[in-house]
Amino acid sequence: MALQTHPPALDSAATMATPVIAEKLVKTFRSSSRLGLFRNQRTVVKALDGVSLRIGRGECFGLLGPNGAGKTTLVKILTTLLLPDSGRAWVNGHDVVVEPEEVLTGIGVMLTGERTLYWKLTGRENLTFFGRIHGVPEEKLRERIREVVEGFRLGPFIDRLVETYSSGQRIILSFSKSLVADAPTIFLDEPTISLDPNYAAQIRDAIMRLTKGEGRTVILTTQLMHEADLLCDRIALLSGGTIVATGTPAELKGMVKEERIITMKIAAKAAQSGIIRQAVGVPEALMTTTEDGYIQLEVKTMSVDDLLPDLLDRLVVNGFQIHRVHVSEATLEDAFKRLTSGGT
Amino acid sequence: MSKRARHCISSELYLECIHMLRYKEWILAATLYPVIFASIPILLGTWLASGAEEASRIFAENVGTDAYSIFLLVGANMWFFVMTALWDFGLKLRKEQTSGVIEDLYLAAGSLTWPLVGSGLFSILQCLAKYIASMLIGSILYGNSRYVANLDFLYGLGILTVGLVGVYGLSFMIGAIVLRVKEAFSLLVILQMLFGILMGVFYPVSSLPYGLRWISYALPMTIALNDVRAVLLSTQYVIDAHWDLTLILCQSLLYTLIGVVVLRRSERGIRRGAGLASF
Repeated sequence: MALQTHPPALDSAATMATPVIAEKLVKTFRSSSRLGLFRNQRTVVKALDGVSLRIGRGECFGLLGPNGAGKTTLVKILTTLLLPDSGRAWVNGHDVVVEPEEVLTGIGVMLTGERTLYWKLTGRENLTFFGRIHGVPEEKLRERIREVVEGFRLGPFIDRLVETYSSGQRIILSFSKSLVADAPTIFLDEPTISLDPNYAAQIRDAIMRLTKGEGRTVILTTQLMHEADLLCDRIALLSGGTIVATGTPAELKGMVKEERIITMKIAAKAAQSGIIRQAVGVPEALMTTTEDGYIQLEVKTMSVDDLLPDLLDRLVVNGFQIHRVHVSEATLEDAFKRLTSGGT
Repeated sequence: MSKRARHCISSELYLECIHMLRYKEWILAATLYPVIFASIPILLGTWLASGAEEASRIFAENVGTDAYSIFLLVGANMWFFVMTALWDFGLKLRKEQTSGVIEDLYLAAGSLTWPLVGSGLFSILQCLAKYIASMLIGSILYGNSRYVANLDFLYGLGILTVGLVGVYGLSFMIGAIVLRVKEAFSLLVILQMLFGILMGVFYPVSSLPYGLRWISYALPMTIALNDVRAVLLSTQYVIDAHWDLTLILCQSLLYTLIGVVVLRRSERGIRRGAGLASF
């Protein structure tokens, strides 16, 4: 695990073996700020500033970051929709700038939003149309469509016009569309955004199947921390166009020194709370009596490993029986907040 | 042409067919439009000449045929096809840009060129079908059906087909401009008016000032329109039947080639900037 690592020089074997490689990608956008009716000011926004990463085969790789961090720009460069100002990237061994058609043959992409379909076509017609222009052979296409229709239970609405779909149905159809080409590498840009829990779970299960079951590589951008925690083998945290940290969810959580809460349920009467407070020796400790007659002690600390054994010792020495101990975990959200705001 | 390109073209044809069938009423409207549009100058001319016979005589004196209703009907059809080509491409790209489908189309096809070729091919076939239908309806309505029920009509159809290819080549350039400028309507309206004036929709191009005639002949549909009339109504060719056809073929190839190159360059330029979906 390292902050902002740059891969070494690449050879063709490396680009073939690693489905996604990005090397010092830079992308700037030029836009105009309106300063009244007739005055404009040209502004330059650096969306990516030297982003490098490597994503292994069968890996679910998360791209996390606040709005405007550069996640979608990175996905668009890797899927050849945008050309970088500088830097290079390879997907399935093909250079995204030099060989865009070869890159597109080997990827499935789901972009944000439900308006990525033809609304005057049925769901099946959409899948057929996009599958055909992707060059999927007719027989294989029929088989893939049958699989996704069954897999995502699209049957009840697949032959209806997309304009009659609910928002969730459109998104799940868009997701299915990205799988029709049977590509080894799949890019998903916030696939569960605005989905109800059932549809979202369906997509998460599918992502698990794609990576763990079928060995495909999935690059996932999301704002949902629990989703990233659940699905991603590794995560890159982007902020201001740079990768501020890369690692497994556990590694990222370990990178933040977050205030944690130790909660203990102690078998004692309310009258003994003064003795407990004295034994514990932490004046700020919060004590309440639970409905089932225990005393609940809450202590906030930055160093659980030091304080917890000490607390347990003191209470046991004073003859208190500890019924339950719980330590709040640092979450990916804590890591996200700390790392993307520049602290640790 | 690669297998993928062929897939793109056939899929786009299929998509356009479905879209057309989902808007059936539009087919009827599009067929009748040239007939209705041509009736404006036909009625005006007849009224100014104080009757159909006098109108035919004056028209024959000036243009070389007395079948002014067919002359105007052919012109209205051609103008409508040019408009269809320009608006179809311009609006299609703009609509797909604003709706977000354009990126998915690019991702699946690898380029916008082949889906647009498919779309253009569909549009040419549709224009030919509409031409036959509206010429049939119009000639019956204006009492000149003999010009439709003969072999020359089929030859005229062939000239029209070759001419339309050039129009779609020009549409590729318009598509490229729409992708960059992000504003389809005002550009298309101006072009619509310019084409209406320059391609001789309601008058022979030879009646235009000398300098304007060359600009007019440089447009992809002007010579084709002139020659469809020459075949049907025995009016003047620009040079002669052979040379005119050669010119139409050359124009169509040239416009298509330039159109594809411009669109491809524009597509790449847009990817270098803010991307296809930026609007």
